[in-house]
Amino acid sequence: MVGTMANVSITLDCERGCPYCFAKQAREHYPSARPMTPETFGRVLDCLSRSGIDQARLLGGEPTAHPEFETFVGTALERGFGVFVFTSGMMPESSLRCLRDAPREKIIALINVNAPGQQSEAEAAAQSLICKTLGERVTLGFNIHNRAPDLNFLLEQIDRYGLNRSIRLGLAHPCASSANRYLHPKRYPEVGLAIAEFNQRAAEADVRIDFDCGFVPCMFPDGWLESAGYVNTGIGKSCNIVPDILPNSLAVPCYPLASTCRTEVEDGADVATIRAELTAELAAYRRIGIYPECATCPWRANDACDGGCVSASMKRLRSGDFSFALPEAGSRTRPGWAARKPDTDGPKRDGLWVIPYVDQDMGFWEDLARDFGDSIKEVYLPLPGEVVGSGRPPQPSERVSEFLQARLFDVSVLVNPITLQRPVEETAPVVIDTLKRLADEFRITGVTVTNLSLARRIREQIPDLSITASVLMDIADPLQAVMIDGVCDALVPASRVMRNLAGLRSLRDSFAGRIRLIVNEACLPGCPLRVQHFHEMGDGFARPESLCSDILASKPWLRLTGAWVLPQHLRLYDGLYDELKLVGRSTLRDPAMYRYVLGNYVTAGEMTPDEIGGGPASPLEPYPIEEEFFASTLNCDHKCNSCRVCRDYYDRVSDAVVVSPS
Amino acid sequence: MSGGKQVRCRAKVSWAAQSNGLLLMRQDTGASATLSYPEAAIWDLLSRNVGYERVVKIISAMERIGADRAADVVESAVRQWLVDGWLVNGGDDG
Repeated sequence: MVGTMANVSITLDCERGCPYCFAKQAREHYPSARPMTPETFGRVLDCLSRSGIDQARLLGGEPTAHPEFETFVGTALERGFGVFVFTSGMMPESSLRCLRDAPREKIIALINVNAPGQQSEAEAAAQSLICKTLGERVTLGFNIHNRAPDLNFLLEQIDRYGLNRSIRLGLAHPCASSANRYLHPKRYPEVGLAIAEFNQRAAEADVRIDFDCGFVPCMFPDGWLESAGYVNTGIGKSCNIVPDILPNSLAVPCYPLASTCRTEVEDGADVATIRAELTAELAAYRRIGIYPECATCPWRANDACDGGCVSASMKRLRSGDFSFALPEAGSRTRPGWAARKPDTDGPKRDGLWVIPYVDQDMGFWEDLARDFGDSIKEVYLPLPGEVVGSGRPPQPSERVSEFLQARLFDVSVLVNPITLQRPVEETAPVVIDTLKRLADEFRITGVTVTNLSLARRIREQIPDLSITASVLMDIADPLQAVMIDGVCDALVPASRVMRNLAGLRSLRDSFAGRIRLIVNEACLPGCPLRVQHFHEMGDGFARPESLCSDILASKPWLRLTGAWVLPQHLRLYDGLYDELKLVGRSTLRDPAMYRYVLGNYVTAGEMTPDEIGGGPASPLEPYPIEEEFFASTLNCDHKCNSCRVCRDYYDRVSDAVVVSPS
Repeated sequence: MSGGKQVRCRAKVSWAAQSNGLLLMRQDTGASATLSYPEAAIWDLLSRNVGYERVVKIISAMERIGADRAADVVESAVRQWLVDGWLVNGGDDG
């Protein structure tokens, strides 16, 4: 069927401004595109006729905002076409009358609705009027742009207005060269589960779900496609190019790819030819797939999936003008260290790293996105506006607005002072309002909190925001993990358990969510001064002191017991974490240092503990940390009162550093 | 590393991590190639501006091979990419 379809975009104008809007890219790429002229519309109808197509699918922007909309509908009907209108519902009365008075069997209106809390009363009223007026000629469409869509309201609307008993679900796809909010493929499985659950209710209400492009079989629970009757219905094969013919008569594969390839709709052209040209141009990109795993996926091998949305796949592409010197023959490089065991994880995992915001220009962030984008899960920063502290002194933030606008990365915010200054009842509303606003405006996908009551309220009010239990919650044992279960999606274990693999394993076994390890914090395990230190850091003291300096001066070997893990030793934690977090809002403000530390962690480079940005409790000299020693600290009984391993190691390496010629 | 021949990535070459290695593609011609390991790791490291010497060290460690053998593996991969046009010599177009 898709081989004999095309959408006719008669105007790119729309007043709604949905954050996920796909047409934004076409608007930006063709800023001078005027609404389609009647002459062009006539030529496009000629093309559809030649192609054996009997339906004019009018698209926008908001197609009914075209000043000649009624004329276009009339022309299409006179020429024997059915008319399919994609609308936001913000439709002039004259357009609605035109559709109402047309032959019933010739008109379908698909209203793309947003969730009740995400659209204005005016939009809701306009949609309601169309539904009342057109009844069963209306199909509801919904574009999913967050990971936990609540779709039940669609069933209520279908029943209330007697609408067509099908729902068209779409995924918000990324535009190739402009910023829109989109659903990252890593969220697909959560969405697939939500759809499967919703489908049960829809089926009971005799409502069928139809899937727009980009859905992939692997996002749904095992066996669901078969049990729900969706085998061989095109899921996985639907990124298949129904050309969008723009007002300037250029045809593009779809809005998200409007800047990637296009072809002119010339006199005499037919849709099959246009589609073939666009398909050929995109063929190379189809090899990518939305996940690294697409390369070896059985669905794809069996031709049951094409690897998802091409535009989403292209987001995985990296490029860059790197260069290096190839040694002349005979000047062979000789590594000066012995081969270690290979990493058990194989290739670097994607989206693993949660990294700090530092106030650098966009060039810095663009370079990070280019060089480490696949490895970065999100960037974290304090909740803007000084609504509530983040457990640290304020850091420069002049460029934070520009950074957020650029949407280069998913962003999470910190609401994690060691204690809230005011009761939760007073603090929560303003925090939640701020989070809602940020989530609407930017790619804010998560929040890190120290207060469980606050977390619970955030969960109730913003259910699709990922909540992480801060390291300052000091969660180190399974009983504590049970307390946050069901509220927090991720857990940062306490510093005092970072050198205790058995303890981390217990935590992982007892917590259903994700485990996020901080790799370069150097706080001493269970430091008795920690609460006071974080109180001073978070509550406006201009230059809070590192309170542990006296302890460290008398027992310097304690520096070797801190919570840090060097990049080369992360493999010892394999299987104990889902995400890794780099700290350093203060210590990694130098951009070169930031890149150096992040780069080494991402590539498992060799570092010494003074290099990692761990703060004043870190070892301050370039002590070599041998793997055998480090591994012993992860599996010992932590009876430091009677043990001499760390003291003796410290004596040895500190002597070595002192006598080093360099 | 100094004094060697300067080599750089050809313009409009992009790549994406795959579970079985790394997909290279030329956005100007649509040509593509799949690198398996360790070649995928070599490209990944070089593209992240990890120094050539360090890449050799990492490959030596990853593959549990000696230094000379690792240097052969890296150099061989780079020379093949020059032949295949994914990399170009410093002054060349592309």
